[in-house]
Amino acid sequence: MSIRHGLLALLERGEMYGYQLRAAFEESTGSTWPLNIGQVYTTLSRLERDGLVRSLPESEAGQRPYEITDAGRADLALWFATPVSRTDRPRDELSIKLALALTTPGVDVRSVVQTQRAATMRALQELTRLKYASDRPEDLPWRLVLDAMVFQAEAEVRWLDHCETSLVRYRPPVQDPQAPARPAGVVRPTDEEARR
Amino acid sequence: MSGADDAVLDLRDVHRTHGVGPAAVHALRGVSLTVRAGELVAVMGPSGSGKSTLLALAGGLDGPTSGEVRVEGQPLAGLDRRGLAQLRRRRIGYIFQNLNLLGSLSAVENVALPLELDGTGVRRARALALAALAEVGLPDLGDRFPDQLSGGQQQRVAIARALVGERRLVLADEPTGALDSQTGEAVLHLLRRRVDAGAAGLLVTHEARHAGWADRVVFLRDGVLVDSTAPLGSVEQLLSGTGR
Amino acid sequence: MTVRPGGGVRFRAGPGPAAGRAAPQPAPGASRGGRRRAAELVGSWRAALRIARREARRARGRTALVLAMIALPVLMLTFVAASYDMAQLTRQESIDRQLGDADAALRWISDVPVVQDENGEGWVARDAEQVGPVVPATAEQVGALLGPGARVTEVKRWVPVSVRNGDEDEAMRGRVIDLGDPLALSTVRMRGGRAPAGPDEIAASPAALRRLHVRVGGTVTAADGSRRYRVVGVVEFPDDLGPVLALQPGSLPPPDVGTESTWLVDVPGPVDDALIRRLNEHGVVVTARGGPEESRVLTLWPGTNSGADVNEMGTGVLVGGLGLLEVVLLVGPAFAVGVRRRRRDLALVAVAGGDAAQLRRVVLADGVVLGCLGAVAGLALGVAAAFAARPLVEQYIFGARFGGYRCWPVALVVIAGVAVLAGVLAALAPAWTAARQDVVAGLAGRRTPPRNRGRWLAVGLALAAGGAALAALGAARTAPTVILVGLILGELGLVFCTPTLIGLLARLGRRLPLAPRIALRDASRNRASAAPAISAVMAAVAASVALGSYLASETARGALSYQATMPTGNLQVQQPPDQRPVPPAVVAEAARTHLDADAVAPVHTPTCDPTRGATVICEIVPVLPPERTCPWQPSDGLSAADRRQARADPRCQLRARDYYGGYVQVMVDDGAALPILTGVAPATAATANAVLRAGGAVVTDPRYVVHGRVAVAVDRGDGESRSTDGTVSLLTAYAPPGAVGPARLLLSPAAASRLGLTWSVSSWAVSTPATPDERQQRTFSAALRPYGSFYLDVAQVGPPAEDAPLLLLLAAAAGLITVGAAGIATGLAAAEGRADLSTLAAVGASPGVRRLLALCQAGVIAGLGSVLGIVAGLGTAVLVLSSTNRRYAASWPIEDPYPLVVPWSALGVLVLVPLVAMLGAGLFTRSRLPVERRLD
Repeated sequence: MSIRHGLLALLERGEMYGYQLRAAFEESTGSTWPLNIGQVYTTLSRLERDGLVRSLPESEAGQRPYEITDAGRADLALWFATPVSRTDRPRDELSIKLALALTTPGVDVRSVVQTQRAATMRALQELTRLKYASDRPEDLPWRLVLDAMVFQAEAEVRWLDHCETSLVRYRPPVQDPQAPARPAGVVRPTDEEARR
Repeated sequence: MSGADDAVLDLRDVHRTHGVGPAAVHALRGVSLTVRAGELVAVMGPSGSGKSTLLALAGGLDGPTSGEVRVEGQPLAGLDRRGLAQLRRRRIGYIFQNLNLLGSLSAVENVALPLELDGTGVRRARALALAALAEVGLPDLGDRFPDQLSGGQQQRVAIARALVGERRLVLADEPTGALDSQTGEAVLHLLRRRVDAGAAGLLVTHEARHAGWADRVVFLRDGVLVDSTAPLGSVEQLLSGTGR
Repeated sequence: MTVRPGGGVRFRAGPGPAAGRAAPQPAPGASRGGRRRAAELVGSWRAALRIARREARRARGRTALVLAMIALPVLMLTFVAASYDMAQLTRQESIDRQLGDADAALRWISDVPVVQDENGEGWVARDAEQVGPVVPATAEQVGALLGPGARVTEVKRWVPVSVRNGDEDEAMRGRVIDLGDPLALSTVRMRGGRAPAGPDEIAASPAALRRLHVRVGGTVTAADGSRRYRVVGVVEFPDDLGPVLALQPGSLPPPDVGTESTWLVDVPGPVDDALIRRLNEHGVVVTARGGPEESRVLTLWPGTNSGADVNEMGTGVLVGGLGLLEVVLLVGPAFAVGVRRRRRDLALVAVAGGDAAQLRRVVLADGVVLGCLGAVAGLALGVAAAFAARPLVEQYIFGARFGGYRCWPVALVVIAGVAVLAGVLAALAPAWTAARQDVVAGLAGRRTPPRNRGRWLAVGLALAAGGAALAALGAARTAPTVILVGLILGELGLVFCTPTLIGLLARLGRRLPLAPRIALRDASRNRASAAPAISAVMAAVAASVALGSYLASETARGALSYQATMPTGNLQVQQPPDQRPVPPAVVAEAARTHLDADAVAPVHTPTCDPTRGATVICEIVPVLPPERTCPWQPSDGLSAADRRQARADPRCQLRARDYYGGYVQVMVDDGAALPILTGVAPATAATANAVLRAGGAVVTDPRYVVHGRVAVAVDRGDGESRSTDGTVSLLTAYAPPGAVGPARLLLSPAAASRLGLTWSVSSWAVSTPATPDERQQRTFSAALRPYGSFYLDVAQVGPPAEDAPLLLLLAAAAGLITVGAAGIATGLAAAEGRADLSTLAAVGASPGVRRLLALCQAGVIAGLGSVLGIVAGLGTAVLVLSSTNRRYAASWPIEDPYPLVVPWSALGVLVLVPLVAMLGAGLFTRSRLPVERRLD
């Protein structure tokens, strides 16, 4: 998602000026995506340059409303019709982190997983709590955004669960079978509990 | 909201072993868990991790091999089966994944069941049960039988039964198991509301999304609590960003 | 393919079974299609039987239950059949038993030539002349017939012997047989002691020793005290295990006419046709080895030769049918539960392409498999039990040794067939339901709520009404078979009505407390299993209540028509006529000492005075005046119109018994016996005494007295010419009011003399303050013992009540079925309701609730069944009795109607039984709920 298409979508409702756009944007994304007014005006001027919006005469209060053009509407329709590709997203830092942790000596991978899971779980709880707090009918767009994040967090927790289970079964390649010490990277939870 | 006094459910170093000798299965190994009034605790873990055993212990349906279980400060070991049954019908609400309702009783009779078992008059029990059904959004379906209700409706009736009267502890075992996500969501919403009104809740689930409704999530693996999230602040704190 | 005939395509009244199937191939394909259909049938049965076998192994408890219920009746029937077969001797066995080591048994039955059949059982006089009387023969005479080298011994099989047993006389069977003779000895088994050697020695069967309380070495005294025998041996007669005494020839006084002799003979040559013909010439019938095996005729009891009669057979088949119905109803619930538990499996079969018929087959296969298993188990156990119990059955039931170890294969096959039939019938209704099940609901594990099947209700009501009408018709025609058919139909009708009734009750039960409400609703939801169980209870209870009511009514009727012979407690001491008379003082003394008697009076019986004419025929009767005599006789075969007229005639208002059994007792009395026998008031007795002293007579039936006189006819004759000369005399007479007992004519001695009669003491009338008990009667008899044997006739309050034990037995049988059915249904319900119990536990039901629930579940089955059964049974009784009474209302002589009596004792038992069943269910249910795993 881009601010560009967000503003176009807002202007599709009717003409608006900068501050109105910013307020509407934050309202529909549940303040999860704070904008400053500068970002709004920069984006608007780019849109005007590309012929997707046009500015209207200034009002008495000195505010300049914008309206969407036909080209803008076409662009917006195209955006809604195009699925978001996974490869477009930024690289997933977490998976890279885990992969590195597994191969780096001296790192307790299980602890990494559990810490992350607790954090994600907590985020999930918070998102759920927000969702619980906003149960008015007009909150639906906001709730759907929250749901998207909930499902992502859930997927992450499930993935972390999966990692944890895989780690239990994980036997690191042993170079020297006689070596008494275990590779430091993996602590098998069952052994650890048995020692308690 | 703090202090051991308002702990509705308190498990201390609870062990539960099924069978003896080499065939022994250790369902729980030294679990300690406290659930306070107004708190919803979710227990997550894969199947076979001891979740259901934990719930059965909390409801007095099963006894620990060692350790102590207290409900509202009352040690369950001190109660005989009659006393445990009385505790269940007065203080504890139980919700299962399925097989929740007696097929021979209508919805309102199912809800009124614990009250009736406790000797509440039929008329009063029915009134309370109808109120509980209204609370879960089924005010008009009281006289239907379970066969005539959808899965979600059945589960709501079960929740109404778990909530009817003055329940302080609600135990839910995968209450959304057989339901679609919307209906499941509604069920959890009801549970959350009840807990916010002052009950203590213990929710067993294997879905993170459902555990997200809890104030605290504990992870159970092979009979051991491995980690948990810290208690959550209020919504206002969350919105202002300080809760994070 | 649709599985629900109601939902999809329905082939109603199609042109044939093939119409539904796709069989479009013309001529050449027809046979192939047929073969394929056959293959399909075999295949689907094979699959169904396999599933049933596995299922039987999986659900062990249920399987055991069904097996027990099928195997038990099979066991009992097999036991009976095998025992019966063993008791039926083959010709060979029966000849061996009769002859022992002898070559033949001879009976000298005539003094003219005869022709006998091959077996020596039937014979006719050869020349069709009149057969002369049997000549008592001697061993020499028989030996002479046979020629030199033959050995002969005589056996008399049936000789009545009367011996003393303590203070009483005991009539026993005796057998005259010379056990010292090896031929005779070979027909018996000596079980101890030695063979008697002289006329003063006897042997006795073990039963006789027990009966007489003697051992070998003891003595037995003849009843008249004339002889004493020493018991020297214990002997067993294989054909009679009862009490039998073996007497030596000459042990009894000679006049033993009429007891047929059999001669066991041993001849040097063979017993061939020539010998038999030669003996027949002399009137001797020969039983020898050889001869054809008899064809088996089904007789109801061994020893009776006639085949079973059609009516009895019909009744037997119907009673058997009721038993089958009972088994079907008891087993049915188990199958119904099986179907419900396998809802999903059956739906999967449907999904896999099973059509309705195949689904039915899967369930029916359960019935086949369990029926077969039950039959096999029952047969095996039954035969084993019959073999094991053989000595007991021989001794106590048949009273004779069996021929050998065998069973009756044909009967066993029939029994097994009926058992399998019972299994299949029990599975029939569940199979039908299974085939109608909604596949989608079944897959989801949901149950389709039972529909109210108005059609079944209509069928049930029609059957019940039709059955009742038929039973009433049968009762009016006195046709037990028709009554039974009607009752069975009516019962079936009620069975069909039960499900609707349960549904109705469940709807009414919403105000009940929790446990009964759940139990009632469970029964309603699980109608398929509850209805048969309730019906089973109902059928058993109804049958026992109906029979009980009938018996109670009959008892009450008997009591109503009972006529006391004397005032209660008084007794008559009778002496057999040919004994020497006892001094009156002895009787009076004994009565006063042992019975606390108030009064003792001799009763004289008159007879014609031999000095005043012939006495072979001597009849003394009061004559009823013609205007008081009913013009009709019961034996006349009156038309309906005549009967109506007779019923209206005041002269004919007598009860039937007065016509058939009533005659007037005539005695001679001086007034002493009168009050004791009739119990009239003292003032009346005084009046009667005055009449008697004045030479008159007393008649207790006032119809005989006209204007203070009674006509007494005396007919006497010599019997030769069979002519009699009768005289009728008029005597002054008095009819005392309030006389107890049958009609009596008491003649004063003076009147008797006037009529040409003489009289002698025949008995004594004794008046007692209270009915003497057994002990008093025994000591009284013992006191009179030295003067011969006496018979005491004690006036009882009413007729002896014999039905009470039968009633209770009936109630007990019904109770057993009730408890069984309730137990089965409760057990099945408990197995069904495990999930419900888990929920109950979680909600906080205390352990007692489970007991209470089980109690209520048993109560619904047993209580509902009992109530329905009692209503149906009483209804049946009312129906049958009132139709019988309606018939009696038009009959003449007037029959006492059957009063409608409620058999309270049996009803009490039947009301108690559900309570017992409930308590049992409560007690035997583990109160621990299935989710509770607490280790205390």
